[in-house]
Amino acid sequence: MSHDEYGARQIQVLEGLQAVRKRPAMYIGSTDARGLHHLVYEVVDNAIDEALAGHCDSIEVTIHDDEDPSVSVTDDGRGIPVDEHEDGKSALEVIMTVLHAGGKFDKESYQVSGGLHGVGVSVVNALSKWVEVTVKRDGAVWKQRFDHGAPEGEIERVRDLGADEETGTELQFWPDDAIFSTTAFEASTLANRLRELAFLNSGVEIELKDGRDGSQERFRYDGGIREFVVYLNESKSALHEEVIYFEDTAAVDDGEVAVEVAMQTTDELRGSIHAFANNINTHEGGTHLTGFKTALTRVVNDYASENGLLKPLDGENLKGSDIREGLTAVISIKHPDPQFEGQTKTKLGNGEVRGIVESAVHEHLDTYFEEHPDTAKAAIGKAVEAAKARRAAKKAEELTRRKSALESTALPGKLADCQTRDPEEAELFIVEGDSAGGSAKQGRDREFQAILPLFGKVLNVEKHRLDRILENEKIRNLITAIGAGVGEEFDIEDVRYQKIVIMTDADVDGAHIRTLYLTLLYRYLTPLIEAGYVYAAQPPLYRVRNGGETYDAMTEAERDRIVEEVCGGTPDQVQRFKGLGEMNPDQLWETTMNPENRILKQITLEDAAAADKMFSVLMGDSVEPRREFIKSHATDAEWVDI
Amino acid sequence: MSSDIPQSSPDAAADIDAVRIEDEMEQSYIDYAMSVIAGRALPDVRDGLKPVHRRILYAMHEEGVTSGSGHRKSSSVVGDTMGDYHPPRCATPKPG
Repeated sequence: MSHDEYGARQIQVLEGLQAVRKRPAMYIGSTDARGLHHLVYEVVDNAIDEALAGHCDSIEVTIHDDEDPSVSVTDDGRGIPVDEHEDGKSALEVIMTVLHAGGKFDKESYQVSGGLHGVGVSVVNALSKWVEVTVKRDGAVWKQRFDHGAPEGEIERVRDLGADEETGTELQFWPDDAIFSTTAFEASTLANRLRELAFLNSGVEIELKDGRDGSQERFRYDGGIREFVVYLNESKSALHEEVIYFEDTAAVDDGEVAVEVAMQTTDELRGSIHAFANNINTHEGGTHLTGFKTALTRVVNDYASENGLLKPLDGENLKGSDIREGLTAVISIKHPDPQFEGQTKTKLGNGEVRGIVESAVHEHLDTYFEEHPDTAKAAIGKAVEAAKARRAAKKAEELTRRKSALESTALPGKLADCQTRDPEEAELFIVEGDSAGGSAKQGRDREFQAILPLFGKVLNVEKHRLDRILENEKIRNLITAIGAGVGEEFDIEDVRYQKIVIMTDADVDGAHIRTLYLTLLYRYLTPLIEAGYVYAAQPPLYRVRNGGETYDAMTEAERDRIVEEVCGGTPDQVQRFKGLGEMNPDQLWETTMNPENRILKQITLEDAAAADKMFSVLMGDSVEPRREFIKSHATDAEWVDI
Repeated sequence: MSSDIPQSSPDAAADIDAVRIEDEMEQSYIDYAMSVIAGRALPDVRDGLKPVHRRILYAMHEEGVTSGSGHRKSSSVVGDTMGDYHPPRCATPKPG
């Protein structure tokens, strides 16, 4: 094979992959840490597809300890096809260099495939400095290397496959640091997603090795999503021992839909339902979730009224929200042709799924209740309690509403609102104290920046019911300022600001206050976080003065760098900003609020199950998991203020 | 399938860092928790005093409030302590 031919081929390849390199965000969402980790998921998804097709049960993900960061994914599937595909190219080469090529081969060999990131492994190739693929298949070991997307030579037959060797694929890639803002892989981020995949695909073993510190984790859950529910409920106390579980399948036009449901009621005041379609966490919900909720409400009410469990409510039916209080559930469906909709394409749109899930839940949950009356009574007893509390709260709410009919519609007195009425431009700063609030009010651009000072620490909403939470004045002020309601009545269309910036002091109490507000926003104004409207301000920690010049430093390391490099080790003054109130209004504006200079942290929600678990461990009632968490993460503390 | 990809907002400027909510919670919480444990909650092994007790005793010492001195309302001690030594980070000015 001459080099000229390769030249021609490379150009063709680059045309296809160039589009990916030009607009990486269109293919993997972003080029920050999140996009970087998507590359790994993309490769792992291929291995999971092999597992779903029944050809693979062990996947190994390794973060390599090299100067150039790289990750390899090894599976024991059938191996990517290596035979000639078209124009003399191997199938492997086509898969690696042509967008969406995977589907072309695999419609027949894969019934179901991980949909969301299904742009194909070619995207990983396009965004990597190098990719090295080793395939064990057709009696031999094959290898091909790619440089910035283009093949470095033909596929090469390395050696014969040993008699006892299994088939499989190993793909190692070195992400391109010219494209990604970071190429540092986080083991914990990968672990979360890999654990989730292991739960969703029972029996598949996924191993994560971190060559940098020698650590490794193995995920294998033969109990599948049943064990997922147990894991999610680790920090909660369950009201019945056994996890309710059932599965079913139904035929659709182009194959079969598989439905799996696992659920368990806990004594928590909140429920959490996680719905997955083809291993994708559909946090915007969709038809599978609607079907589940509808059937759940009907089955529980039918059973409860037949068995006289509704007497305490004078025969009134339970509402869906009563039943879902404290309920942890995982719904997983596998569909041959999933349609994703919604803002972040994480809402399942297939209409037929609703009926399929509904009748599966109806049939199996009914049977389950008949066979396990104790479980049914425990779960329904909790729902009845919730209904009682709801009715009591409603009475109380009606009372207060009548009392303050005028006040409740008015904006809170402490709010210094902005002039613009356009939510897209408007920004709301939540400030932790009155003194900082004063600086912020003077320093802001009143055209589009509103300030809401809320003194000190706010109620931990993880530990209280909504009625109790709404008695809290600070929380009520915040909710009225945002103006879009709360809980299930929250309507994102009504928000008055599309940037809500939590601006707390740069000390550890500020960090604590931030966690408290995030808990409130995550639990009761979730769509704000899903829409990416929530931010954390990052005020500087230090100010260094030297010879009439001032420099601000966000971190201790930056301060040291400035002191050494800019001031030659002997600055005139180093000031530690202890609270926002210590900055004068101009300083606060320049460093933290001015859109030209400031750096905001946007709070994103990707993995609802991981977030849910984190909130219940950190903020929940149960102490033991929190103690464990602090013990195992003590060394992660970035700065301890003594 | 390209329509299945989550779109990042096109005008996402360079001055915005995305951080996952569970990571932000983890970091903020652990910073707070470790600071409270190390700086507030643990009594000193030498005398069994927590930092807050020490600040109160020191304020009393500075004001000459001892077993032999005259009667003083506890509120005034609280006032002195809070005025001079609270919040804790102000108690001892740290260099640089």
